[in-house]
Amino acid sequence: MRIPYDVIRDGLGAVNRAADNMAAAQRQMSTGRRLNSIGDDPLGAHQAVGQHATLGAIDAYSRAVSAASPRLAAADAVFAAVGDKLTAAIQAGLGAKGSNTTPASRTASAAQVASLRDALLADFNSTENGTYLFSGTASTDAPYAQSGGTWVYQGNADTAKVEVGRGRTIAVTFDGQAIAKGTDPTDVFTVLDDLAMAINAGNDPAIATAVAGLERAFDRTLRAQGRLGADERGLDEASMRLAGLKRGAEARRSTIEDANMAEAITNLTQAETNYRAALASVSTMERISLLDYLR
Amino acid sequence: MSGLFESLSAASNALIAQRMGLDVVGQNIANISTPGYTRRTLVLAEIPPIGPLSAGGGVSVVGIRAMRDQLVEARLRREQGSTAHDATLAEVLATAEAILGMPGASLDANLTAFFDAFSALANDPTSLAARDNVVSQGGLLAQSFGNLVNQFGSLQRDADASLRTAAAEVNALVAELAQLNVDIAGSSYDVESIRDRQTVLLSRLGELADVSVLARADGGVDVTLASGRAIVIGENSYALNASPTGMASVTLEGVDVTAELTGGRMGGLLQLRDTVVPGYVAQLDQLAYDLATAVNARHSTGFDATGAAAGAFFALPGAVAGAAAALSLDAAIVADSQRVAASATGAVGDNGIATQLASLRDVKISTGGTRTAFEAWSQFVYTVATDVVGASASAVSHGQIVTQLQQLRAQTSGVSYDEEAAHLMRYQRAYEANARVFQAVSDVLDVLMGMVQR
Repeated sequence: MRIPYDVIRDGLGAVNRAADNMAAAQRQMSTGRRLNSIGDDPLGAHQAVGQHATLGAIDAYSRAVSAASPRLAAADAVFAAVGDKLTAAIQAGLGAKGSNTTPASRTASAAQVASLRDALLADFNSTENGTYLFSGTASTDAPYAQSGGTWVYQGNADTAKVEVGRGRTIAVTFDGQAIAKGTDPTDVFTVLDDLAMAINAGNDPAIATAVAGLERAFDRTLRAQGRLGADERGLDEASMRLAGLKRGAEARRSTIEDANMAEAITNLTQAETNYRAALASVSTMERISLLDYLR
Repeated sequence: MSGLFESLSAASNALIAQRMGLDVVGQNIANISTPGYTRRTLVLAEIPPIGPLSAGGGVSVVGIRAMRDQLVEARLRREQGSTAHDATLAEVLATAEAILGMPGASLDANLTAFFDAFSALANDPTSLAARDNVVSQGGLLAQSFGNLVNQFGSLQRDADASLRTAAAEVNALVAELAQLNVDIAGSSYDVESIRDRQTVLLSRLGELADVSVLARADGGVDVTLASGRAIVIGENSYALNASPTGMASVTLEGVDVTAELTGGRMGGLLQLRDTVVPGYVAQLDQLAYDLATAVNARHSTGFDATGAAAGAFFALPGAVAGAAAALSLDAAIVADSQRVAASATGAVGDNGIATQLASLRDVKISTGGTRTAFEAWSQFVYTVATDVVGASASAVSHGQIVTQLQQLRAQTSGVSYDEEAAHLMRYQRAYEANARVFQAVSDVLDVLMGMVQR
């Protein structure tokens, strides 16, 4: 059989293939990436899009956690302060009851209650990052204000919730009225006003009624604080879970997209050897001819 | 009985034959790199004795034969067409691959940023900056869809321009083939060099379009498209005409043959222009339309920053076709980011709609509710990537067949240095030996002539 050797057809083709392989191995080495174009691994590219989307969602949830965290911490601090003030008001009311009180002490107690009411109002009207915490979703309106001598709740009963995981939400605004009034006929500010008036008047039954109202407000505050604590723990758990999910997604993305450097170095060495062999074989084949032996 | 002059004549014929052998070797070596060149061999025949006491008249040159294998040539032409078809697909699809970019740095990054913007708005529904960011990311997403469609449009136009160039090249080739038919028919001597050129032209024509070649008795060829429409008949050639405006349709003698051009580079270009790229754009249109529809459906049930009922977020195209190119934000949204709906109740601090829109990233809104936007995009990426890999693999596979066929062709038609060197040595030695015979006969004649002179 005649087998004419063609350096272009047989030799150059082999050299080009070896050069392509070496370039691909070199590209993996220099970029540190296994996936340098979607055609390198179609299924890998398909999966990589999914992993990037997952990472994007995890980052979004993490930002929601970061945004919710200071609001919950602020609300927690407010609940603690509200609890302290309600306790102080209850103690003031109980101290002003009975026949041993003097007008002066009652006046002082009433003034203390009024002061506590003002401080409590400031607590309920707390803001975080420019929006009110306790006016539901009417977060640009102060929760409580006095209008025509009566206390008015200006917020609503809704709460804004942020998603901190797929299908998992955390409330970041609160219904102030549910705490300040609940199912009572009057809110805590009116109760405090009534208490101050009762103390001034030495009206023990009215003081007892007001103190009972404050105790119910205290219970509501404690329950709200308990729920908030659960949410804060949930937020911490969500944060840790998201960090774990991110590590997992990042590892999967890396497996798909990043080069295994040990393998890449081996591939490059092998490709270089193949390239040298292809060049050497072409050079050898091209050098040998019967013409060299004719004299 | 032959005389000394006949002996001298026989030696002379042999010298001519061996010299022609050297000429053929020289021609073969000279054309070892000439595309389409077919190895020539010298065909010699013994000049028979003219009588019972004659040794023979020496050798005569019957002719110079070109070593062709028509079967391999035809097979090679077909495979070259398939290789050109797939190589064209692979070459253009590599551009499509570049257009799509890498995972996490393409349209999917815009989708992530878009949903993230609504997520940030949900975290802080009263923030003006968050609203502005939603508008900005929505605009970038729409722009990204538009850019992709534009780039695929450029790819289509490039394929169309290449198609026109290919049609012009086909016309030049068929005109030259018809002229070669004339030359072959009119030639009274060796036509092998013309047939070498014919082989080159047919090979190139086979790369451009799927053609059938019918050999004529005189060595010329008739050529038809695969569908049977003639483009070369004897001395006549028939040109392909590409319509001057819009995407070219190709006509032959007034008949639209665009759909018949399925093979070769032209077939590949037409497949890209009319099937592959429109298919990609259709997938983008579907995704853009589904996304805009889903966003608008939720957005329009919400309330803007002023508490007023919100309208559409995207200016929704009327139909799926063209949706990706036409996707844009609603004019009211562009004019005032306060028109972005975050609230589901009208309360400014409510984030119900923003939360719903941020959650859309996980909702199966595309392809009839079977895929999320990201899944639709990743499926699109997978489609393009497998097309690229498939076309490249097919081109490599056909390329290997072409190489094998070229090797097969070379076994018959290729020039070998070693073989030519052997022939060179043989003709040289034979020439030297015949020259000695000639010298010997001449010496004998001299002796004889000397005897006559005495």
